[in-house]
Amino acid sequence: MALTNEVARAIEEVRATFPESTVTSDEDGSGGAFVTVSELSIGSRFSESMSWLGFHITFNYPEAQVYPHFGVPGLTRPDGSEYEAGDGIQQVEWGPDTNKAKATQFSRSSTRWDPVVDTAANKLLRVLEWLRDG
Amino acid sequence: MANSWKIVIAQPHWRELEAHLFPGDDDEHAAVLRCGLARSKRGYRLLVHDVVIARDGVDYVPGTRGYRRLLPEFVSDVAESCADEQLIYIGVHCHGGDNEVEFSNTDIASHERGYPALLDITAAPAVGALVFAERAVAGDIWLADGNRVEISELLVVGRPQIHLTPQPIRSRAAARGYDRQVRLFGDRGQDILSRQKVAIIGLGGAGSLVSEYLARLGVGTLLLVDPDRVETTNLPRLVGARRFDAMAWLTNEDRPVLIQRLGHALARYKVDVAARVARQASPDIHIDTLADDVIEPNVAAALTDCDFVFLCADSHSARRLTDVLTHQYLIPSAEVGAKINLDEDSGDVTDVFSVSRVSSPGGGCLRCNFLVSPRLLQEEGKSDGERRRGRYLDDEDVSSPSVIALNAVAASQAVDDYLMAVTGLVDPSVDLDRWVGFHPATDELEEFTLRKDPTCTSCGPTRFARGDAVRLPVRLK
Repeated sequence: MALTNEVARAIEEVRATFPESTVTSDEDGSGGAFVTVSELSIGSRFSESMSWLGFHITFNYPEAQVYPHFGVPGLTRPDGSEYEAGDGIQQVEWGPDTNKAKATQFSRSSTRWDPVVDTAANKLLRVLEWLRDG
Repeated sequence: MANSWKIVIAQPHWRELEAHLFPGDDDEHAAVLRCGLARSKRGYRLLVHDVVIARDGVDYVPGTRGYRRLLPEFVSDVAESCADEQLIYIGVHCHGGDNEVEFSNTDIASHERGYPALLDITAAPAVGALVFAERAVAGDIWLADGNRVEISELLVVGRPQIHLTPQPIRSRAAARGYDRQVRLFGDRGQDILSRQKVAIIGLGGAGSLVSEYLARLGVGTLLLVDPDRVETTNLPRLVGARRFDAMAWLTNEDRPVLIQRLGHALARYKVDVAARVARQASPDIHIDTLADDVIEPNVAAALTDCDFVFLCADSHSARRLTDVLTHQYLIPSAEVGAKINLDEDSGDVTDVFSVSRVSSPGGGCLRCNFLVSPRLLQEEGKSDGERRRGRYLDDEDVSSPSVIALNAVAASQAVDDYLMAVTGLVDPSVDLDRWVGFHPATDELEEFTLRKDPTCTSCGPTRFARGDAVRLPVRLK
């Protein structure tokens, strides 16, 4: 088992971008990895203000965009009402086939993903911004 | 492993080099080719990454031992750039003459004085030289292991393809069965086809047609790649497929699920059906079959020494790999397919088209033209289970419309363009690439104008003609 060089570099960049968080990764068996970044502030739009955020960097990275992202399961609006798929937020299971778990999925696809400038780290920053600001 | 050495150059670079070497003044001119290297069982290919022109009177000046010489500063600068970029230095100059050429004694003496040092400076597996006449080339390649070899040929890949050798080569007489087509492209064309190794990725509706066309044309070797087995719903489009191949009596919906599963597991691989058809069409053909995904590393590696790749599968990872094979290994390719678009709400047909996208090294790139989706690349990098959990697989489970006649239009066009290019019949004035779409519902014929991104990660300088030096975009094991 191994990671592609591009995926390994992406994980290092995530660690450097989020030095206060714990970044863990599980190889997916194809050269990619499931990455989780702990304890991030996601603002006031949800029933919880802190969440881990996870994503899958596949072996096709950086040509493949990093999408979607995942957080703690059961996230709702602060008043307890549920988000719907049309909001880009839904409840799913996430993770490797052998270790999947419930999670909230955030679908923020980049229409113009450019592998020269877009990275897993700056995509995570953009997702965080969207989570916080809507 | 064959020990032949061959130079492969993309048509745009060839035209740049040819214009410099033969401006019509009957004088000698020089350049350096910076090359990547590809090794395989078929031999070694030096892939021209770029052409460094030696300016007359500046870098290429009157000589002391011979007629002209390259200035040491020029040689040193280019050699150091080769060392920095892990490229191979191939010096080039021209002599007079037309169809035959060889190095002069002065040339050989110059190689013996300079090339041991060049091997040291570049730290490359080889350095060497080519000498050109108008329609001939000879090569003297010095290997890091101390051996010295000649080149078997120089191949210009594009439309048309050009083969240059030190002397004219007599073609083998074609078998009598090819009489009618040999009247079009001659024994020479048939000989070229018999030496070709062509890959087909996807042996479904379009790929099975391409495979039969190539076999009947007399292509020497086919590499057939497809992980799928025949299903009953393939039978109206799959050339040569029988109900037995699909295990139709076991997979019928009125059978118990376990029996259906057994039937699917026993159904014949599509590559085996295509191989059977190809052997019936051409008993002497050599066929390799790989019933696996093209982005598995061993499968992709087998494609790197092909002469042409037909992509007849609708996967974005395969599109990306095909782009890379075309530009990193200088293997021309054709994407072949047909599509029927439906209105999402009403289900009405909105467009029907067949498309053939023939791309040459240095030219067409699917990624540059937005035909490789970053989102779908991501999806294809996940397991089926993961995609299903993310609720992206539902749409994929719905089969798209598909019709044999639409596939045949695209397959026929792509094979025709391949044939015209490799046999040298296509006019040199045509475009480097041919992307064409046919819309039978509206009688439209669509010729595409191609976009080129100079920083493209598939066709740009980080991969172009770098051969084995850059990893292919495949799964890691």
